[in-house]
Amino acid sequence: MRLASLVALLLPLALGCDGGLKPEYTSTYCPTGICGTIHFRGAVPDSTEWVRVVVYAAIPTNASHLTAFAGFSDGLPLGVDSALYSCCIVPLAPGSYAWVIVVWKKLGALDVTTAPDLLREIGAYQDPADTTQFGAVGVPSGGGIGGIDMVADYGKMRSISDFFPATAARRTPPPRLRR
Amino acid sequence: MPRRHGIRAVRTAAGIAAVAAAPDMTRPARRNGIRAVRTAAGIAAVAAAALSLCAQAHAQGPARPLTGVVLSGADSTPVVGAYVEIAGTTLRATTDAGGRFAFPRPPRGTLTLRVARIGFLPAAIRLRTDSAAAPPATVVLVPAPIEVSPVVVTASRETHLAEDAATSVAVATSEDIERRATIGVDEAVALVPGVQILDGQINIRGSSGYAKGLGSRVLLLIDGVPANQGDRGGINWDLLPVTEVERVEVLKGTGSALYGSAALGGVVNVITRDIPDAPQFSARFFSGGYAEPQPLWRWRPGSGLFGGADLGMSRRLGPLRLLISGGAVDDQGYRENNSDRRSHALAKLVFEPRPSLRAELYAAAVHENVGNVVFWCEQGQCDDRGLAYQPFRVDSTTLGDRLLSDKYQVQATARRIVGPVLALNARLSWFRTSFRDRFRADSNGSTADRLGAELGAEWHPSTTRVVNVGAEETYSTVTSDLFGDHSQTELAWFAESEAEVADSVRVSLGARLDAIAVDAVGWAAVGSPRFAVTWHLPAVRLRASVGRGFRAPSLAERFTSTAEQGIRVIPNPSLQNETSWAGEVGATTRLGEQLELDGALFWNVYQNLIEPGLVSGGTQIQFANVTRARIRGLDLTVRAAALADGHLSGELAYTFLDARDLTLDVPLAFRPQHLATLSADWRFGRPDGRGGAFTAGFDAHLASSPQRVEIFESDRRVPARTLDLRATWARGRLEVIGKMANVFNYIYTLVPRTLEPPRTYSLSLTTTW
Repeated sequence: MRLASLVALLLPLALGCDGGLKPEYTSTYCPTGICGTIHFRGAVPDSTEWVRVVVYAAIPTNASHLTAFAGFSDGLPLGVDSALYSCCIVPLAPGSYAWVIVVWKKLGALDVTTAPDLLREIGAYQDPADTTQFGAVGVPSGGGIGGIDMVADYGKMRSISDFFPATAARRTPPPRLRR
Repeated sequence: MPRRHGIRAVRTAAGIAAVAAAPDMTRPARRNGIRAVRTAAGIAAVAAAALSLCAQAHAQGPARPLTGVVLSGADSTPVVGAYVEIAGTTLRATTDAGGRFAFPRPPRGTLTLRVARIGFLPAAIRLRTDSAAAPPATVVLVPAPIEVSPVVVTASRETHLAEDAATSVAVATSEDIERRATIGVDEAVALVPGVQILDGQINIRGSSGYAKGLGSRVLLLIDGVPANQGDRGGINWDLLPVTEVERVEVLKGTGSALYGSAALGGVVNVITRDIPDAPQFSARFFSGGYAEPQPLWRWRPGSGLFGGADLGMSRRLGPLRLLISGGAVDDQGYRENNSDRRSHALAKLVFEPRPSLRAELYAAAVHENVGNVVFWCEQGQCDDRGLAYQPFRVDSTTLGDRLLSDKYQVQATARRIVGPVLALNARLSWFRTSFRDRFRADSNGSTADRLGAELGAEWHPSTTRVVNVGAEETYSTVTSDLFGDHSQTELAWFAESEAEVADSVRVSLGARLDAIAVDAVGWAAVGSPRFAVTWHLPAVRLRASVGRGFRAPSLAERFTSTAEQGIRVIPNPSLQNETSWAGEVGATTRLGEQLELDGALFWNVYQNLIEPGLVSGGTQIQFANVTRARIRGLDLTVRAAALADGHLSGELAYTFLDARDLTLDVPLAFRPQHLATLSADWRFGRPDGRGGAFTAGFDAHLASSPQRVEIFESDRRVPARTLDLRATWARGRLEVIGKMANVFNYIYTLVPRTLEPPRTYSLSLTTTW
């Protein structure tokens, strides 16, 4: 009968496992940095290592600039329709950021030489006033900016190097971003 | 002789001869010719016939008074409050403080005396009474570790041994209620396996779903008298304080054959406590609070508190017994704008000039002023702090919205035992509910009266058969700026015969005919038959029943005319009755003295379920008969006692529901697929011992999230999982109970955007003098 006492004691403790309702931020809420919602399209490739929001103060002009990002978010959930994000892991300094993109990382060791191959842009923040252009985001002092929503499409990846000056696509969002 | 598992015959006194055979020597053999009687005249005819039989029985001359005493087999102390009946007759008694009982005019001949008390095995003894003086009978009850209520009323409208009930009846006893320190009757009902209360609306085996309290498919009875609201058909759980509750019986399954409309999905019968012979004063004080929400959801400094008191006193003055009780609750609430102030008063008068006549007058009044919470605050409706919702807060435009309500219930009942074969029952009742919204946006109100009358007869044409017949009338009126001015009249005639047709096999067959008119026109009739059988085998008790149920639409469902969030709700006077066919097969068995298993399979098919729906291209809402549905499932209960060297007792209950909307071929909304409860209590010491008695226990509840809801379908739903801990210390006249509900502060909803209580702690102190 000691077993009965033990079972009676342990069973309810199993209920203690968490899983109730939790606070859910909205995409417009942003106490610091840049926040928003990513709406995903397409199937997640098997070779996916991670997907993050990456923020640059200026659009990189060569491969060495690719690693000069201002900050990046936690890895975004894979296989979901949408996800809230808050950027960045290291708080962004107040200022203007010209290029806020969703980056897909292929499996593999990342360095300057492999970056153009391993990093792909799958979405970018557009200028609300002119959706043919990338949108600059201003982070205020002592706060953040929310509502920086983006569409990320696994089926329409572009290498980061496509945006270097040598290419024709400089400062021009991919066609899928035009509305 | 009935051979029931667990019944032991004890025969002690000389002069009372136990006999093996059971010839009925008390009445002539006129057992046939009783048919269902469906009119008041029919009832009178039956009563006259029975009176004739009674007169013949009495012509033989009654025996000398039959007296006796009931003792505990454990220590030979008197058993107080034991139920004693002479089987096959109308004669019943309850033992007094000395364990004594008396039947002044028992029938002469061979009798079976059946005795039952919670905590003991039921006992039956055979004895012979004649005109010679006989010494008192002594009945020794054998203690039973598993404590279940030995008698129920709801299954047949008459006091019945629980083991004879053909439909599943679960009981929350006053002991269950006390040790869980429940504050409201709804909390006590929610303890019953298979029952879930959704924002005040009760579901028995998934019967009601959720319609904001409108049109309950469960009937509330207070001492057998219907007490659903006259306008909305819903249930007010605060009509009486739990301190005055003896037990709560929950009939699982349709009860329309006995109780008519609203009993479609089950019946809750709240039995008030009897008034003792000795003067008594009781007091309960309780206080507690709610855990603070996490910082992102915090909406006030500190935590909300609540407290209250109930005082009661009773005494006997000759044939009169009087109980008066009153109390108040002040609750700051766990949510914004949800503070609640409630006061209540109750009086009960019992007039029992002789054992053959008992009349009761019961009156209760409740006043409540509660903040109105419709749904929690969504983004933008309050200071949402950037969150998608604030579950503890409300739309700031509704802050200050209050709901004022008054309820008055007066009921008079009388039972006249004409003789061993016939008893007459009568009741009159008046129930008023009145509410007025004080909302910023608009204010509405409603006053509804429900008048009821009933006349019935309990007739025992033989020791193995009982027939209950009766007629009932209910007249409901409403005056409201929401529902208009309307009335509903219900007339009903019912009859049920229960007989022991073979050794340990009891069969009951009954029917009820209800005729309903709205605004005194358009009478419509509905019949509700029922067939039930119980079979007591040596190792298992089997039960089965099938019956038809129905529910008449409430006046609110027919006539609501208002606007809700810009959408107009329009009346539908042509609503039809909801109907159902419900069946159940169940079994109960004991494995030794420590374990009892009970299981039931049930299958209910509903027609014409009333649901609100969008009409006129989605611009208006109207209640309509739209749904065919099926709810089938399984109820399992395991009770264990005297485990762990006698210190531990517990109960595990599980209900599986397969609830399907057959019209849309989707799961029926607001029904969880799984419901489970696990309770356990550890007891140490004795109440009369030094240091007192200490009990510690827990209740764990689990309900899976409903597969479908009809509002806010895209909201995240989580299962309900709560653990309540409690500890009781009792010594002498004092009992102290500490309780922590929802220990893990699990945040969940049962109805979308309606938060269930977070961690709640309370301390209550009860004393009786």
